[in-house]
This record gives sequence, C-alpha cells and structure tokens, in this order.
Amino acid sequence: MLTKEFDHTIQFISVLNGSGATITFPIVSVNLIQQNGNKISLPLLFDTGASVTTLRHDLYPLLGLASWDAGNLCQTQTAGGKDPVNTYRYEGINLEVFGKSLKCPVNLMILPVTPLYMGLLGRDTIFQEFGFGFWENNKELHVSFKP
Amino acid sequence: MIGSFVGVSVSTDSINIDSLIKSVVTGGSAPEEVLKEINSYGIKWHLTETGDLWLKSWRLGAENFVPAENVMKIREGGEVHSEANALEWVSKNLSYLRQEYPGKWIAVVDDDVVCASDSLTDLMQQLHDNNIEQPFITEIPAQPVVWTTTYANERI
Repeated sequence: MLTKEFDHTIQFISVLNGSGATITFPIVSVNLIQQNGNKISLPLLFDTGASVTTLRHDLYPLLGLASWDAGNLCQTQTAGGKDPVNTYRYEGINLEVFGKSLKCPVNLMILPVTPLYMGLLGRDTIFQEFGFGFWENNKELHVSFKP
Repeated sequence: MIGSFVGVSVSTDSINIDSLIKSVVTGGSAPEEVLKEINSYGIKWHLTETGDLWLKSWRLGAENFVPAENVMKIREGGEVHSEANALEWVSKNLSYLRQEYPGKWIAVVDDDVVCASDSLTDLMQQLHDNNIEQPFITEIPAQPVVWTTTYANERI
C-alpha cells in the first residue's frame, strides 16, 4: 500500500486582530547562519507563491551586507500588487531549515512590518528538500524530511 | 478506553488505523464501494490522475473534543512545541511587547526579551557583547499592526 509519512507538524500561529477576529499564519522558524557561524532564528511565512525565499530589506546587516540593494536587481510581482517591485538577489546564503543546512538564494525586498514574520519561505532549493502537507482546517503544516 | 475518533468508534487499545484502511482498500470490492466505505469513516481521500488513491490518515483526531469557544483559552494554556517557543511566545504577548517595546528590534530567548534596540545593527552588537547564541529576532511595530494577507480570516 502506498503511504506518505510526515515527520513533523507545525501549528499555525494565531493572533487576534483589532476587531477580535483570529488570524492564523503558517510560520516557520528558520536559522540564518551568519559568516561567523552565529545562528539567528527568523520567522518566515510559508509561501508557496514565493519562488525565492525573501527577507525584509532591512535585515541586510544579518547577511553581512553594507546595504540592501547591493545584489542582483530583479523585479517581482507580488500578490495583490499591480506593478512589479524591485528585489535584490543574493546567492549562497546559509539557512538551516528544519535542521537541514542549505545554501540557497535569498531576495531582499521591502515588505510590510509585522512582528510575526520577517520574510517569506520560498521554493527555490528549499522546497525540493522536503515534502509538505497543508491542512488548513486543522491549521497545520506537515513536513516530511524524506520526500 | 473508547472514544469517537474522526467518525470511527475505536478502542485505543486495539486500533490500528493503517490495518483498517488496508483491509478496506484491498478487500476486493469495487473502487466506488471502497470509496463509499472510506467516506463512512469520515476519512478524506484523493484520486490522482494516474488512478492512485491517497488517504488522509496522517493522525487520529477526536472530534468536538472541546467547545469551540474554549479553543483559544486552552491553546494559550497549553504546552508549546519546543521549536516554536519563541514565535508562540511573541504571538501570545504581542500586546505586552507593543506596550514595552514599540518600534524596537527585540531578541527573544527562553520566553524573555534579552536585548532591545532602535536598530538591528545595535541589537546584533548587544547580542555579540553578551554572548547570546541563537536568539529569535523580530521588530515590534510602533503603530498598530495591519495584517495584510490573502490567507483566510476566521472568527473563532
């Protein structure tokens, strides 16, 4: 019999908005491994619509950069946005995702400020390392480490 | 111990959901009959374009375990998964954090704000000076948070 096993479950994060309604977000804590080996834990929104993992532009000091716009300029279309916006791409950024160290591209982009996530966990390099099950009704993200 | 799990009355001493599903799927019945029986257990299924059957049997759940109005309260009092501790702590203490650290970058370790600063660069310096390892970092907006998202809003 065919089976698909998941190794890990992440509960969505819940917050109350100003009108008392509960909003939930699938958020994953990812470790950014700096050049000196230090690890910084960053919350990223799980986003299948993001082709590349994208961090807030003002996190550039964590990448050891002097400014956020030193990388390769790209333009990207955002959900709900009319015009493409500028992003700057950096290659070979060390991230630790679900305990697995990966070198992947990261975009820096101006994103809305929220205290619950500092960017978007996107597909490039990362998604093929795992299997994901998205269970909206249960507010759970299931992760397989051996897809 | 007997309970009603996802529409199936089971004994937790003897239940083997995988065996149950296997017996239905390999029982020799017509596919339509098999799916009907699976439906009767309240188990969701999906047929791929190539004809494979996948069943959503990732875990057992007890339906209507608590009244819906108590969910948030019980969740807040519950144990948090270790990897999500800092994030959960921040989400549950947003009002406090907005009151104490408006417009600040904060570093959280073990359910506590260990450093705060107006700038990320200064925060990183503080962390370095204090040998604080693997902190959880975020910025607390000074203004009320506008949750711009295309994900569903749900009132519980």
